[in-house]
Amino acid sequence: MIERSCFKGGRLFLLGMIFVIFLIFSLLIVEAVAENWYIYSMQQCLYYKTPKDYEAWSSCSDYARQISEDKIEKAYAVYSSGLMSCSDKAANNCYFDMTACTNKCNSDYDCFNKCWRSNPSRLDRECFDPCDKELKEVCWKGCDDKNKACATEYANAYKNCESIYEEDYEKTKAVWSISSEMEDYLYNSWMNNGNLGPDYPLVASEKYIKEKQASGEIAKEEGKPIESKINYDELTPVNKIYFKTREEKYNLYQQIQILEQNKADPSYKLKTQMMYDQVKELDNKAEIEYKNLLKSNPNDYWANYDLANIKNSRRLDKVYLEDIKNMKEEDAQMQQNYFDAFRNLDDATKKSLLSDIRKQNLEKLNLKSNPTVNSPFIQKLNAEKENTAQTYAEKYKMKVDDVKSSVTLMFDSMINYAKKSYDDIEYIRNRAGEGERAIEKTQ
Amino acid sequence: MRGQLKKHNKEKTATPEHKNYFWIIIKSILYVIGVAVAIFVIMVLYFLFFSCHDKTCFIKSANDCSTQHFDSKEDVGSIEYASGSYNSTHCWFTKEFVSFSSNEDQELVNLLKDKNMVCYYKKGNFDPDWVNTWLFGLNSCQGELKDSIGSLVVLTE
Repeated sequence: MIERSCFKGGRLFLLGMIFVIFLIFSLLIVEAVAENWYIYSMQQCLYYKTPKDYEAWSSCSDYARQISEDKIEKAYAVYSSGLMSCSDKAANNCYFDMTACTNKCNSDYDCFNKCWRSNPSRLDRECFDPCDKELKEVCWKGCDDKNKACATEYANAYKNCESIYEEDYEKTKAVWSISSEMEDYLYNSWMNNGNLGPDYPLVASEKYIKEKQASGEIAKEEGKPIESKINYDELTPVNKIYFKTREEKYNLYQQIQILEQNKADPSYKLKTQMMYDQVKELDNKAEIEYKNLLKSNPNDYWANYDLANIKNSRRLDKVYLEDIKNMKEEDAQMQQNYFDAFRNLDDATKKSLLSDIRKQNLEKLNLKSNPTVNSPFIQKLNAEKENTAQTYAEKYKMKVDDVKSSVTLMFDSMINYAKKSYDDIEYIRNRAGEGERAIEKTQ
Repeated sequence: MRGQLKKHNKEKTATPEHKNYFWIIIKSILYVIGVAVAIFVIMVLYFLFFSCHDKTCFIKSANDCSTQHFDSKEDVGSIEYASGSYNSTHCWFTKEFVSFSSNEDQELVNLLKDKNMVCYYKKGNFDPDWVNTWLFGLNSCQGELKDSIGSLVVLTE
């Protein structure tokens, strides 16, 4: 009796196992077919290079992009987590911010990812991906300059990762390249013919491109210098420096964008470096011009503000490797520029500037109202702000309230400057009146 | 049938071979417990004698680029400071809330919890302001905690 029921249970177990194995294999097969189907369907989209049915073509293109983005996100997660185990040692020597995150988060991938993403350095992020063949050379070179042993370790780590993740990576690359080929076709067609193809009316292509530009998927007039709509002779001296520098910088960044499309070019690194040097040179030139302006009018708000922002942006570039002592000296100079900038604004402008900045930060933090003064942490921040204000009020011979407002402005700039677009800076400029008047004159 | 099976099982468990297995399992468990206790004792000794218990010790240690953790109990809550090196000359420092004062505003707790900031410095150039203040030295750091503090400073009068 017992033997019989045992046998029955064993047979059931065996059947169950067979069913589970069958299920796993089925899923694997379905997934493999689906993977290839994505690529196949996107290739089909690509074959219709002259889209007669615009809507169908457009949705096909969007689908391809969505799929490729999903896949890239997935592959990124896979080899990022793999990277933690297979190239920790190499990364320790090459990329300190990754080490900090790894040490902080240990094997908690979410924590690591969050920590890592808070680092704004794009090049470092890309170099972390040991499976990216195009960037490998650049990264190794970067390691090699600093440390030969590190370059070797990184090379070994790359080898390990490559063998583990090659398949996923290649598939992702394939999907991505098809998607970008479609975008290229669309873009080139628009640039060369003014429309999507011989069968497609101009008005629709313009609509499509504008939508893409609005969503940021296609750069506005990529690679083309902007046509200046500003009459520089109409501007005040400080705005002339600001807008001229901005326009020249924008044009350089456009050229950098073109260079970045051809990373295989052996001179790519040198050429982009030269462009970035030119951007820095523009800041140096602007700095001299602002300083000359300040000689005749030391209290010019925008000259001081722009100068502080130039210093701030340089600090962001240097922040990793510079000496803290030197930074502190730069900080002091920067603070003085912000104080000077704020000192001579009229009361109404000061009030509206601060009110706007506070409103923006409240929204950014997603807080319902200003934090309560009963909070121990806010009390601590208030006390430190008060102490700072007292110290600087004496040093810069300003009213304590004005120093506190300057500190507010300085922190807003410090936190938001890196993320601010030119438009945001222009917005603040407009709030204080002068920029608004200058732009009115040009229209 | 059932009686025979019981007897058979009883005989089976009583053999010397099975007694040996029993002791081997017991010994293995004891070894594992022993090793765990030893590791625990070493860790306790390490934290007692080699880790920092005040800010002065931490600042000194961080200035030398040493790997160090320190939980500081402050009015605003408990803060975790950590430092380490990524090569012989360059070092990193992190700061994070571990817990908050019981009087803390819940909205602020939600805003600041799980956020950290990382600061970089050269060996010998650790900035004590990172440990002693919330506002100073922030320019050399990055991370969500820094961004939140910066925005909160903007909101304070």
